[in-house]
Amino acid sequence: MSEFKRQDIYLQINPEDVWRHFGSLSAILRGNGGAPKPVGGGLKLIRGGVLRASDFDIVEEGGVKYVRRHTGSGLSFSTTIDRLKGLGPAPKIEGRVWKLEKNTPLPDGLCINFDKDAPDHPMVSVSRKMKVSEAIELFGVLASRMKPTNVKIK
Amino acid sequence: MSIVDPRNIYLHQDIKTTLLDFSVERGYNKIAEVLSRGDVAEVKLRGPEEAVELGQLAEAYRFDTKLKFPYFDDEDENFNPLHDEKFDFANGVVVMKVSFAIQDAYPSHFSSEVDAS
Repeated sequence: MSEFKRQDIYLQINPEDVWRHFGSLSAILRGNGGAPKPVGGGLKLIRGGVLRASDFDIVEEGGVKYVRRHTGSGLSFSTTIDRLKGLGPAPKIEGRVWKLEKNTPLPDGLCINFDKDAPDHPMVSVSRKMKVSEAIELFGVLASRMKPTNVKIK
Repeated sequence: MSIVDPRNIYLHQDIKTTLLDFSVERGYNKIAEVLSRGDVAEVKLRGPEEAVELGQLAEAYRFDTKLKFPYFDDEDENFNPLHDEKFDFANGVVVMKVSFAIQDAYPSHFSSEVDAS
């Protein structure tokens, strides 16, 4: 049994197509971020150098950990601030909101997955199987391309 | 009267187990029963009321974590990386995945037009 939602209801968007797809947006957003450096620790997409099994499809082969492409997995982003604040009775996502501004490319090797019925909930994941260490490096590159907003949800 | 509108949502087993254990420990029997339904990474909701209760449970888990590990904010002079790690799991994994899953499952119930009070 898969740990994630079945893949066939998801679409995968590769880096070259991201802003063609999200062309009407000025940015896509990530909550739960820290304060910008040097005051805080920054965005920290991946904390403690560990990919969580709850976000990624991780396997171990020959003593090496790999993250596999799975369109139903990834770090949750949002297309709107309201969704991070919790629409209606939904819980809010606390912390600084960070943004990937329009036309900022995703690093090669990452992609965006989303449920066709929930297009405002993109998830950033890997587009191919790779070592966990490589994925962490790519998420570090992505974090360096993102900017803090002045919104801190409490 | 409860709205019957069944939907299945998917939560990684780490999240589902965390919330189930927390609900049992606290004696939140109704939501514990909801979480006991479905496969390892699936929660079978009978309607939006149960989705709201699941969101409230995720928030309760985050409150509990904040009370145990209060120095999670990196703008706080007492910031502690261990507290940040615990809060990150509660907020950035448990609450985020639950909040997005229930908003995805019941978009008309979780909208900006719905009064949260």
